Amino acid sequence: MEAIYQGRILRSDFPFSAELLTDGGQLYHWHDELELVCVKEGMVEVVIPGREYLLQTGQMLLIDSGEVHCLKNHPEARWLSVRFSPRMVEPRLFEGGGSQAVLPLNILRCSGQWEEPTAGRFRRLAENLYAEANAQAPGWQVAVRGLLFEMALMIQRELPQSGEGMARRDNRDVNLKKTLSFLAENYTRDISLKECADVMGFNMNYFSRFFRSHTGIHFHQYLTALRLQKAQQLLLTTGLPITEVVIRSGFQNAKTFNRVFKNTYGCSPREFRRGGTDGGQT
Amino acid sequence: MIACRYCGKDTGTALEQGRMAARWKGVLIVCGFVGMFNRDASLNDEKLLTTMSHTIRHRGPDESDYIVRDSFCVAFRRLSIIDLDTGSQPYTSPDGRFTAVFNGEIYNYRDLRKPLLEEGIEFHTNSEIEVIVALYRKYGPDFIKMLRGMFAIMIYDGEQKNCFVGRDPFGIKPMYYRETELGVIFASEMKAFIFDEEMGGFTVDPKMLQHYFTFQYVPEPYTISGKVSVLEASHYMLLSAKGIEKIVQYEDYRFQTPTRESFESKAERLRKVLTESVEYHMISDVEVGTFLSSGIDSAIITAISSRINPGIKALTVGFDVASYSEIDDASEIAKHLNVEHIKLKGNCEQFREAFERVVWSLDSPVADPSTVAIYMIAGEAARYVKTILSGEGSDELFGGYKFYKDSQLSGRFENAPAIFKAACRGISAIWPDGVKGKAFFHRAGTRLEDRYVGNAFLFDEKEKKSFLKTYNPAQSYTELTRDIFAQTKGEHPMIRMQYCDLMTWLRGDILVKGDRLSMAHSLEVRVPFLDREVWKFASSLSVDEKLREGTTKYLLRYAFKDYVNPETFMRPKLGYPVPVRVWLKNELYEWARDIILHSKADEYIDKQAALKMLEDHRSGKADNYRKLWSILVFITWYRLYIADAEETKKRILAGEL
Repeated sequence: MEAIYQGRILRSDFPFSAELLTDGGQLYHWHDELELVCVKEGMVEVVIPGREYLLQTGQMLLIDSGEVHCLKNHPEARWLSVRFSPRMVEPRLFEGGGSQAVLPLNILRCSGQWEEPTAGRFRRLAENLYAEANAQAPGWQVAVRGLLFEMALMIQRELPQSGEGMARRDNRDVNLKKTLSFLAENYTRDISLKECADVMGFNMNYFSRFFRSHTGIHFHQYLTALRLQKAQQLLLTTGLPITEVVIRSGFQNAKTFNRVFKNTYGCSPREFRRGGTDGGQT
Repeated sequence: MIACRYCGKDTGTALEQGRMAARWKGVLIVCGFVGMFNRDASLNDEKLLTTMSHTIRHRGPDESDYIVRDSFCVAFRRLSIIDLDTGSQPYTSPDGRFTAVFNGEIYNYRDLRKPLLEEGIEFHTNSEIEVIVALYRKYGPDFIKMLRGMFAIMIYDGEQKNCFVGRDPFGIKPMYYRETELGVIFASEMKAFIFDEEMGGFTVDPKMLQHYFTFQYVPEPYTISGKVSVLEASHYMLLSAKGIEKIVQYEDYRFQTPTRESFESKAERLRKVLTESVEYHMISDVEVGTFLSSGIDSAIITAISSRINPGIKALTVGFDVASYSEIDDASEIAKHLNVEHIKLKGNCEQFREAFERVVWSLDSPVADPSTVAIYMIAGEAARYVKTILSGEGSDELFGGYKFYKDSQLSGRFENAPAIFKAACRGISAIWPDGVKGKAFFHRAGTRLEDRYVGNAFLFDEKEKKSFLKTYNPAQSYTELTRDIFAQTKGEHPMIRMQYCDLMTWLRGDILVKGDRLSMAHSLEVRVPFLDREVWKFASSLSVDEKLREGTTKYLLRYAFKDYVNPETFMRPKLGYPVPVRVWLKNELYEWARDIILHSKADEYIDKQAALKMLEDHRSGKADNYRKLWSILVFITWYRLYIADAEETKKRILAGEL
């Protein structure tokens, strides 16, 4: 499995990360760790199929283990992303893990709906986690665990609950992940909606609707996005000729690649490589 | 074959064009937008537009975009885009002069594109928006009269530094705006203004609230808040950096003198014109369905569309209360037409659960119990199709409301001497309540413009006074319709009633619920009856052709009698029947009581009076269900939009609303 849909793989002996991010990538993905998004600047939209959150500066959102999601951000946005495995807070404070939901099902996950003192304490924990991870001073791992225990307890005891409850996982989520895995493993070759539907054992029309309703985008859009992401990475990190980038990222020909690339990034692949930056969508 | 309106050449049938367009477009684009045209660029506010745009994300959940040109900025929601070649919006012309966004569908855009192509105008995409801009460049604001479809359009001219904003002739697609000292803010839905801090939150305009309790909605161009206005149907607006320069009515839907043509010939022409409209409305989509009730309008639309696309799906909602379900009758129609029929059986619990979201979706309050049924069936439809054809507009165009029959009876006395009218009113006043004839004498004794304010008439003045704390006796319930009636002076009473309904009820109730409740599920509703050509035909029918032998929509029923099963041909209108009348006595009684007891709108609604109305309804002393419904809707609207606005904002940002 490629990291593209699992996110960055964390160290297995200390499954934790805290980073300051500026680009959400806009691709649906999931990971086994819980994630806390804490917006430092600008606005970030987090889409969990069926629900969209618009986080403003200072707001936070908890994303569950294994939950498919994507982040769309404004150009100037910066946010902290804290990810940790439920194993980091053992003895177990959370039920579930792995393929099961970890967060209590009925908590309100967006800090916009919390009381400010609770949100303030939670935000400070996130910032302290980032500071510890960044400084890596002696004993930082112990400090991180301590902070994570405190965070886990707050989740269990202090976060407000809603009558509505979080969307429960069901088979569709499993099917979505299977589909995304299949795409991540096969996007470099010429795959069709029909082939993917067949692999999943679905009727093509049903599959098309299923994909759209669970990711918010169409199958071909997702495939193109995967390919573009790969192309972007190859352009920036390798000296491969463009023709090779086209093939390795799964585009059928250079003409299509150039057109799609330009439409998305506003510049040609060559200019993009020279600039060494992602031009962003115009 | 269809001849192009502008060059006269054959352009193929609408269906052929549609198939080509389907290949070209590849995808349906529906959207909503919020925009700002400021005094100067320093006033542009991306944060405001982003939160406003998030509020209407259901109109286009797939993608959002934000663009700025000088002091013009727009945040835009897209439903879907596959092929980047199709000219995504916002669109900027190649010379950089115009930037445009639009929401809706232009069904004749290929007809309009062809002569432009022949003139040598180059098109780089196959999209409607490029044609819109090319037409605007060539013809100026009047280009809007050429469009056949439903739309709200904004075009910014970077050279002239001005902006054009226009809305379709019937008011199918919405456009709200607010003018401030700093500029003008626009949004596809009123609710987006909840984040407009400069506006300082929604308020209730007592004048509009009083109208709401007459009409069951607030007529255009007003909203309940008074701070936000609706750009009226058939209007466009021109703006400069100074603000709104002018608002122009570009079309007036007036009834014409009936044409001298045989009944048979008219029936034949109606079949042709409506079939062509349905064909146009099916352009570019593969996943199309129809809302099928038990009545004639949806049956005709389903019949025509199933001849074009036999794979079409028909959807019906019904409730588990005897005589409140159209499912059995609709099943008969579907069976007769041999179309796939999807049935949704709703119950009281689902109805109750959907209520808050329905009120939220509708922007200004609309007290029509059918809204919840439409919301539910739209949600079900969105699981199967992206586009739905629906029969809205038929009643207004072809004379489908039973009130119109009154025009034949009491209409005879319309021009009677004042003394005769006074005598009739006198008889009506002393006639015992509940004895047949009272209403007749009342109608005969009262001028049409004093007794008819459109399809719904919720509370009379005495009733309003009993529970509406801000009731103003100096305000007349006819003040919004007076000017409308003045425009049809001397016409037949039925024509005058139809015109009144077109100007008020259709755009304030029917189309608002059609658009908002389908868009709440990211579903697009298309209305083939509300088409320029269909209107042109319907406007020149005589009263007798619409209303004959006590049958409404007579010509329409006659023209399509062979398309549907015989039972449907004469079936009376039900219009999404919902058993609220029954439920409010039983299952919904506690729920309703609770809403009234916890009302935060005490400033406006007298709780005790509302509770008495509920008790009277429960005990059978009076049938108050429509009145109670309007109060429940307002109280809930007030909570969501005003009393708990801060909580509402949090819920929007957290994706709950």
